[in-house]
Amino acid sequence: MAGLALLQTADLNIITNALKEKEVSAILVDLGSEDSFRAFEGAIHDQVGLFSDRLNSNRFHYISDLDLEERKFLLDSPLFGNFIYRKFAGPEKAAKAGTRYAYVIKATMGERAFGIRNFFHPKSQVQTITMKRSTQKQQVVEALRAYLIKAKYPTRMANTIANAVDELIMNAIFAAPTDALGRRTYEQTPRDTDIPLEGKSSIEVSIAFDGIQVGVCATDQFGSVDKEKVLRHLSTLYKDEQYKMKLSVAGAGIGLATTFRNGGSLLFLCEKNSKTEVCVIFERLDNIREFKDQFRYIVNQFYV
Amino acid sequence: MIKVAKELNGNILTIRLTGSIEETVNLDEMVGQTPAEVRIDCKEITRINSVGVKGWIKYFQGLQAKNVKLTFFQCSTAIVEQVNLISNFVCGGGVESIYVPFACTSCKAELIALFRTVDINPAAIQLPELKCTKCSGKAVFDDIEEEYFAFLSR
Repeated sequence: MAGLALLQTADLNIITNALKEKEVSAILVDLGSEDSFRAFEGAIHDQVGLFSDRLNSNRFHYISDLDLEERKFLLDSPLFGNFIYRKFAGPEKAAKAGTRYAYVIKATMGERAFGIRNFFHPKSQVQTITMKRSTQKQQVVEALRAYLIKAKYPTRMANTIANAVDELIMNAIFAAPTDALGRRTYEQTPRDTDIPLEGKSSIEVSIAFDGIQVGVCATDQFGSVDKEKVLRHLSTLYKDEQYKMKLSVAGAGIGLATTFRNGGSLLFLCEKNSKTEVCVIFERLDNIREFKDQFRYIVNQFYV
Repeated sequence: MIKVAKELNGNILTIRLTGSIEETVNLDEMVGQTPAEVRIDCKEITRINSVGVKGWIKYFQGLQAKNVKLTFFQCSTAIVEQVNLISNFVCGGGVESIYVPFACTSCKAELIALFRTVDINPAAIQLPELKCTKCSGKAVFDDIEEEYFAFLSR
């Protein structure tokens, strides 16, 4: 990327020295095993300090050939921020994936990454809808689905994207609101309840489209997303017998996990007690096989 | 929003579900009393969100607890995805038949074909090539084989 110096090394001393001496904008970690990650983490612990002011998990980008469910050790690391699922075959697709992720790197280098436009080409179209009531969710989801079908998206792709957006909006309405003590206001509220979305409860839905990618973002004014909880959900395999879906758990979790498994990139941008943006981005591809198997990532930008 | 059509034949109730399953769906209310066997036609289920999944499992687990025999048939691609993703989605019921997605290699049209699950060998999936109904081009399976048919190996 223009204007940035790239330091590429497998030498842990060079890495720790760079972290101690330079302003590092982004750290891309490409380590194939838990042992090598532990060694990396250990070197940082010894040389820099895992909780040093010089480190910020928002700027760590872990590259993996395996899904997050097979990289659970990352969830325990204070270094873990962003996850790149290396899904591409051949140099052409790698270059396209690199171009897509360059927007993420650029956005995460700034003070705040808020705004879906930051993750798209500057000339992309962005539309924003302000929701007035919770019961408008289905209208918004169906309107988006109809728009995608009109834009010649295959029906299954449109349905997958619509489902992802359904989950984002539902979480923004029912999971985000908290009271002064941080308790979830609507934890036990049926999800078909009609709730006015005014003032602090207001929700905006932004849709970005550049002809190749479509992105949808739900913004709430609570800043209450729990990073650890989200990552645990995303790394849970509900198809395993030990993770049978529990009726006692609210709907959240499985929806976002499904989105990531179905090819969607997820972005969690959260300023504590102030604002959260959760976005999904899908690349349009020729067929469902490629769509579900597309390059994708999870962005976690948490600001205190 | 879902529509429910019911047909009672002796001791077997067939319910046909059409539309998307989300938070407003109350299957208990919509289906009502059930006999000892229920067959669920899932052909027209287009979409199901996480709250819909929760409601679905709650409803069918209730029937499972009453020893109602459950059979899901003509499962749409949306339902097959859920069966694969969530281990207890069919609540002890059987999956009789599924729609398998195909895409035309010429005109990119989306097609689906119905298969009985007993006719699919999960150890060696062999799907026929289809002829596109729109352009007569070659249509091939359009999903990830090891994911789409994973539930058959459970």
